[in-house]
Amino acid sequence: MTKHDGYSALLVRVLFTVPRRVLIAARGEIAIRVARAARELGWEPITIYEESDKPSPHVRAGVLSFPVKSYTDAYSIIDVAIKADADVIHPGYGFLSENPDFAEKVLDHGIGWAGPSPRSMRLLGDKNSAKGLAEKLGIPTLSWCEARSPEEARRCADRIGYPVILKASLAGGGRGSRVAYTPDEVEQSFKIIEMEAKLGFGKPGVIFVEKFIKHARHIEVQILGDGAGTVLHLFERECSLQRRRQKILEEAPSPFVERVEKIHRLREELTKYAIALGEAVDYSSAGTVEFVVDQQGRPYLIEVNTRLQVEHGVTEEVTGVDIVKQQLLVAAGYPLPISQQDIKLHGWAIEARIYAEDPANGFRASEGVLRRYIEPRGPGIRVDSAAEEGMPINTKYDTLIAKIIARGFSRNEAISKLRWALRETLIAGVETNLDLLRVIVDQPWFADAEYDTRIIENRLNELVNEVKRRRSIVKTIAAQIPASTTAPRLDSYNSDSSSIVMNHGYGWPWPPWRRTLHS
Amino acid sequence: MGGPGHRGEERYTPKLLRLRRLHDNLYEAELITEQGERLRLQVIVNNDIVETPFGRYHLSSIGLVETEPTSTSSSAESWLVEFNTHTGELRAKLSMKIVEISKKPGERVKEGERIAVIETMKMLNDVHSPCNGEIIEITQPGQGLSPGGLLAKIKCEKKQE
Repeated sequence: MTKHDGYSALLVRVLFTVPRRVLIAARGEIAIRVARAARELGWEPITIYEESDKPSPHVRAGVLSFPVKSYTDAYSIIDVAIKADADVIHPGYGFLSENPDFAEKVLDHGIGWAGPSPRSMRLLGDKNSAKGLAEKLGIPTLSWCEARSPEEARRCADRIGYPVILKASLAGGGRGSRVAYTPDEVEQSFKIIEMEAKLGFGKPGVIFVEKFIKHARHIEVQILGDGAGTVLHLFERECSLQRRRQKILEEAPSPFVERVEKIHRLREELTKYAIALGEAVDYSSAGTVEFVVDQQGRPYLIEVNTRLQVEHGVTEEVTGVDIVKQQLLVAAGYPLPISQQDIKLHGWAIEARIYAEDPANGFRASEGVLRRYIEPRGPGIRVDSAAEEGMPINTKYDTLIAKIIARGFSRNEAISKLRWALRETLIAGVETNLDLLRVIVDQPWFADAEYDTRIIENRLNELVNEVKRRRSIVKTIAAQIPASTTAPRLDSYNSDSSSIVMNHGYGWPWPPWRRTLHS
Repeated sequence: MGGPGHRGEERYTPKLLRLRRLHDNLYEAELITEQGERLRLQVIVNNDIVETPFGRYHLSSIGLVETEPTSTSSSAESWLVEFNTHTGELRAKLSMKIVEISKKPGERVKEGERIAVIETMKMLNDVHSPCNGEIIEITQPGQGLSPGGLLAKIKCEKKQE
């Protein structure tokens, strides 16, 4: 008898009943990820596409794929779900995933929703109401107030104490937030954010002034609920490495939590808060409770993401739990097949997100055609991606090209696996942050996990210079290597424009020049 | 603000001291950086890919194969707009919306002077003139541009050097 018998029994039940159909209301890598989970359950994934996005690889991940007016058009998506006879809609992340009105419409049509109930989404998805609920439950939050004018913002900041951070209520994904250290900066920032909010959303909305934590760490807890009162946690992830307030490197577990664990039971505290919040709303499906943690290890709730997150993969790697599959099962009316005792941490996982963007130019999204694309492989390497050669990268959509996840026995091992995986990756045709990620994972402060949410911003010059230094070295050498007499590869897309044509087969794992870099 | 990355591009100019072919397409190079650091490393060249101790590089990403024809002059916002030196047309590279224009047709501009404020990806950005000259045409505020759309036309003066 093992404790996983319940899981196996449920899987047998699921596999031998009539296959269910899952409509995936997302695109790109996450649509492919969800389709895989559906297929593993013996279900049929169905994907959708906007006309202009038809060649995208996720379209081919479904047994069927339907055109929709847009990825955010609730009516055409539900229409397709009915036509396709879908039992469940999985929203992925982004688009309609955090829209309670959409979830409500889906459920009203008798279709399962692979997300929390619309009520939980409303209670937790709104930053204000989540904070209000947290305060009632005794969970610490950051002091804040609302402002409608620069003067009000200044009074507000005076009360809270400096530094403060100003945020537009409607903004998400790191847009429209600014840190201010003085009353004058508060007024200035207010004006800029108001202007940006007007442009982005058509109306200024409310601007929040909140206490700003110096050297903050971003740590979040993954939760899973069945909607009937059971809420489990899958431990924490740390996502402190961000650029423009958006995550680029994430790890599970958190090195900070591990470090302070001896003096302060931070993990227990974080997971306790996350479960309390989940239980308070009878949470179902997957969710993430996000905290900032100050240097002393004091956590403050910032928000709850009522959906699957981009970085869910690192938690899957260290717990062995397929989070997407749990979401699908719960949405189809099955109980959660696992209990808290089944969830253990094993080893360490780190994810690097490769984006089409230019770190040397303020991380502006870049466009182009993926002319060359080589993914890393090997033990402990997982690549979640929807990229292929010849694919156009359009800033109309998320410019995430691939998520490289490395899993090792220890954090150090995970870092070396990630380092080599990033070195093996090749992307051409569009500027990416790949070289920057390579430089970051080589930094001593990364090895020591001595970082905070602003470190990439603060050290950007140094990091970008190292990217350029490495490129200049490679360029200097490559420019001097004479053209070979060997014939160019037939499929080489630009063999005519390249002055260097050589052929040499090398096998995995890597060519024989490891003992090379001397100084 | 615009492009600090663009100016320092050629700041790193390591000198190649020795290049030895070890085997087929495997090379060993010795270089000296401008900081006086001596490096010895081996690389493998496979068509368009260079394998190095830092990882794989594509020739286009280190500037050895041009990815796009460049009949354009670089401006501080080269990630945002493209300036054609022959026609004087400043065109959008990304989808954008004109928020404000600082110059009207017929007005004179100096190189580096702001001519418009645009919004892209919900962020505001200034667009500066790539040359001294006169504005011939400029898009109205509130208008959206898709990639390739004409933002402005500028008649540049010939540089006196």
